[in-house]
Amino acid sequence: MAMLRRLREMPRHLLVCEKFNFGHNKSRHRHLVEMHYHNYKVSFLIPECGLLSKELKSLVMDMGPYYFVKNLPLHELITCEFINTFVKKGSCCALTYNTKIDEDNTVALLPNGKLILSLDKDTYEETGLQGRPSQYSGRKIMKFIVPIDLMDLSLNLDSKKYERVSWCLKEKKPLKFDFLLAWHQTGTEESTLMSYFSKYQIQERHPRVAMSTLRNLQCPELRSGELHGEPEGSCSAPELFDWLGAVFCDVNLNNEPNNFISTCCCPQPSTVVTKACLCTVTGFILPEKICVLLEQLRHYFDEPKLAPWITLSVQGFADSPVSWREKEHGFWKGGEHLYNFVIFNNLDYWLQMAVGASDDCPP
Amino acid sequence: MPASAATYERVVYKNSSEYHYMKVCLEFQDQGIGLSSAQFKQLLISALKDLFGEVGAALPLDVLTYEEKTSSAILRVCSRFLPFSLHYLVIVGI
Repeated sequence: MAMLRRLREMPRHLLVCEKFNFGHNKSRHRHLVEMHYHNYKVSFLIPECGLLSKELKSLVMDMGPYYFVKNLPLHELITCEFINTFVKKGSCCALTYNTKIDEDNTVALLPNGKLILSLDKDTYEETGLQGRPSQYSGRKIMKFIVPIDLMDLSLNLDSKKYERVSWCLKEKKPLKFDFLLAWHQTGTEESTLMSYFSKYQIQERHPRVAMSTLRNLQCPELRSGELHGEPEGSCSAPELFDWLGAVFCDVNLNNEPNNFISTCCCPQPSTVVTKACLCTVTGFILPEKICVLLEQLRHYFDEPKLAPWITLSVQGFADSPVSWREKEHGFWKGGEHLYNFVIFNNLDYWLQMAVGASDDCPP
Repeated sequence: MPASAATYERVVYKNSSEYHYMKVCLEFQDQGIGLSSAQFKQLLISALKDLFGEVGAALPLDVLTYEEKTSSAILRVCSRFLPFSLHYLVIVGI
């Protein structure tokens, strides 16, 4: 009966919609971007634009690099040399590659120096590290979260705590993973991830960029002050969110209500734009790069433009152990954790953050 | 430039999505069977009819995208009918 009840229930999902203005000193837009660490896909849509400006194009081409390293022993990320070279000097992110958050052991390094291990029960018991049960494990605890604060450990490398962690990861239960790594360095250090992990077959990768021009696109009419929309006046934030997803999936929105295949259409009221530029960057993208892109898009309206608004959407890795900050993230049925900015020509913005069933409410 | 509406507002929508979306793929034992989008949709409707009768066959279902080569599609269903849709998709073998 419980199984039947669960099947009948729709998976819980949350959509947080905020509106504010970039110029206000209490605006949290930068903070929320910086707190979302593991970004897989960044897309922006600019109506009434056929070609990207030189600045935007070069920015988009500069959203990497990131690195891929196979079979990296986990203890390499807790050595004092790694912490001093990368974790303390800039922001270093890492995420295990091709590991499923609900089934496999998964590791993530956050820019604040926290190493998050999401381990299955057997591995957790074998490592002997101290952790807590996963929030989304169900009645039978099958997953454990072990947070390791590298900044705290590095304060005293002779401490028993550091010795224990080091011994657990190096000798008691040595774990190896394929990792995606990226580092935003602050300063002029010469060291690079490529040279540091050269003995582990590290490869440099660049995010994949796809640009297209959409013709005769029906776009919803929005008013920055009306998050809920107005009947006959403007569309609501959730309607815009659904519409944007359809645009990204290349869904045909010119359907009649009696069409057999699909009745999906653009929310009303809407206007047709002759052309719109859609650009997508896919890879392991640092929040710092997204902040720079957001700033550049903010300044799109410094000169008068035909477009009333533009959007910037960011999707997180479905198998990341965290969503925003250190909030635990689980997969359940979709593993989605994403956010979307709608930037208006008066510098008001909407920020939409969406998560699935195995997530806390976005901040 | 339009006047700015600078007041902060935050709304949390819980389970408010009118629709759910599914990416599905139909696999046949024999390769080389090509279905048009209309045939694909008809197949889904007849499966719903077999399982849930006329009411099931009338469930709102949109095939948002369809790729003939792989028989894969993105479907849109009303959220309140999601449990039925999940049942029939499992049974049809998608």
